[in-house]
Formats: sequence, structure tokens, C-alpha cells
Amino acid sequence: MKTYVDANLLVRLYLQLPGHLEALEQIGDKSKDLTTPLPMTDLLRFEVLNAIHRMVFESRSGGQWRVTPEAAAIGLADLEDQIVRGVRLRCVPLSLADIEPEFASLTARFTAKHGFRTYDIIHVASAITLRCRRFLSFDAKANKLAKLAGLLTN
Amino acid sequence: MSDMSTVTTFTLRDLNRQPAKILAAVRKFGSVEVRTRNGEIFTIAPKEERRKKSFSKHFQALWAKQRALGLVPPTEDENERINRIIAGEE
Repeated sequence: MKTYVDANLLVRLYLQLPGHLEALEQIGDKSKDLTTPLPMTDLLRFEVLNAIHRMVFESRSGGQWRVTPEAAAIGLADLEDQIVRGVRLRCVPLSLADIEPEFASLTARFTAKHGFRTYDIIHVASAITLRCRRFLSFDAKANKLAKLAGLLTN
Repeated sequence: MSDMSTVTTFTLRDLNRQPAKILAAVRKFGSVEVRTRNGEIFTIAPKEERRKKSFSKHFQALWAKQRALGLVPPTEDENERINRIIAGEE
């Protein structure tokens, strides 16, 4: 089954945030549903890149957890390597113009009623445009939109 | 090209006359199908690189390296804040 994962899941996986083991189970070796590499759009890649750096910034503000720049750097290097090798993650040429029809449809149908965020709509619109059947995220709002759009979720 | 279903389908004529278009669709969608006039269906997809080790072992090794580099993962009770940070809301 063709699957789309959002930035929330990928950042958890690459920084071992809560849910990372479940994320690995869903997209890893034991996943029977995953038959093709996960699509990685430019917007998704940019969001993951910035979110990993933001975790470094936010972890400096106190608390019990810490994301060091070095740990973030090897996570990002590993992500880029996975994309280049194209085994589990694969860059897909998807422009904003490509997703505009689905984006417009989703926002017209659901945003006024549920207040969805732009990035969640972009991800779900990307998944639909790429003909994915399953959408994986650890974000409740993104999952809610994906379900409303008819996608299978985790 | 037919794209009403979740799978993009081309004809043998498309394969003969527009191979670049078919490869572009493979790059975008991961795979496409080519249907012949007698009903045979072929799938075109990129060849997967052979994996030297499992994805799970790969990530276990990455996480161990990150912990050695000072990463202390947050606990479950930080989940909502993590969601806000990733979403750019905080």
C-alpha cells in the first residue's frame, strides 16, 4: 500500500522522540504494507530539516531533554543518505501547482469547520496527489484531516 | 495515460512513443502500469538498492550514536510540546 508520512513522524524517527519505536514499526522491516519507498517532497524535506534544527534550539530552554547540534547533524546526514539511496525514502518532483487542486478542495471542504493548518493541508493534498492510500503521522490534527479526506491512518 | 484509479496506467503505444513521460510518472508516483491490448498488465518501478542491513538495525545504530553525542530524548509527557515545535507553533 502506498504510504505518505509527514514531518511529525520523520522528526520523531530521526531524533528518537516519543513514538519513534512505533514509527519504525510502521515504516520499517516488519511493515507488510510498505511496498514502495516513502515519497519525500521538497516541502516535506524542508519542514523536517527546520524542525530538527528547531529541536536543538528548543532543547536549550531548559527541561530534562537535550538535542545536541552533533546528534541533530548525524540524524540529518542519515536522512539525506536515505533520500539519495532511494530505498525507503524517495524524492518526488511535486510542485505547488501539482497539489493546488487538492489543496483548494480540502481547504474549501474542511478548514472553515475544523480550522486545519496550512502545512497539514499541504501534506494531505500531497498524499492524495501522489495517490497514496495511507497517511502516517503522530499529529492528531493531521490525522483527523487525512481521515476526513478518505485516507487510512495509523 | 489513465489516472482515474490510484495506479497510473499507460498503454503499449505510450511506452513506444512517450517513454520519457512514463519514466517521469514513475519518478513521481513510484510505479506505473502498462496495459497491452490483450489485457496483460506490466508494472514499471525503479530497481531497489539491495539493503545491507535491516532498517531496524540501521536506526538502532543511529540512535546509539546520537545518545553518545549527548542526545537525551524527551519523555512522553513532552508530547504536546513536541507536536507544537514540529508544527512551528511554538
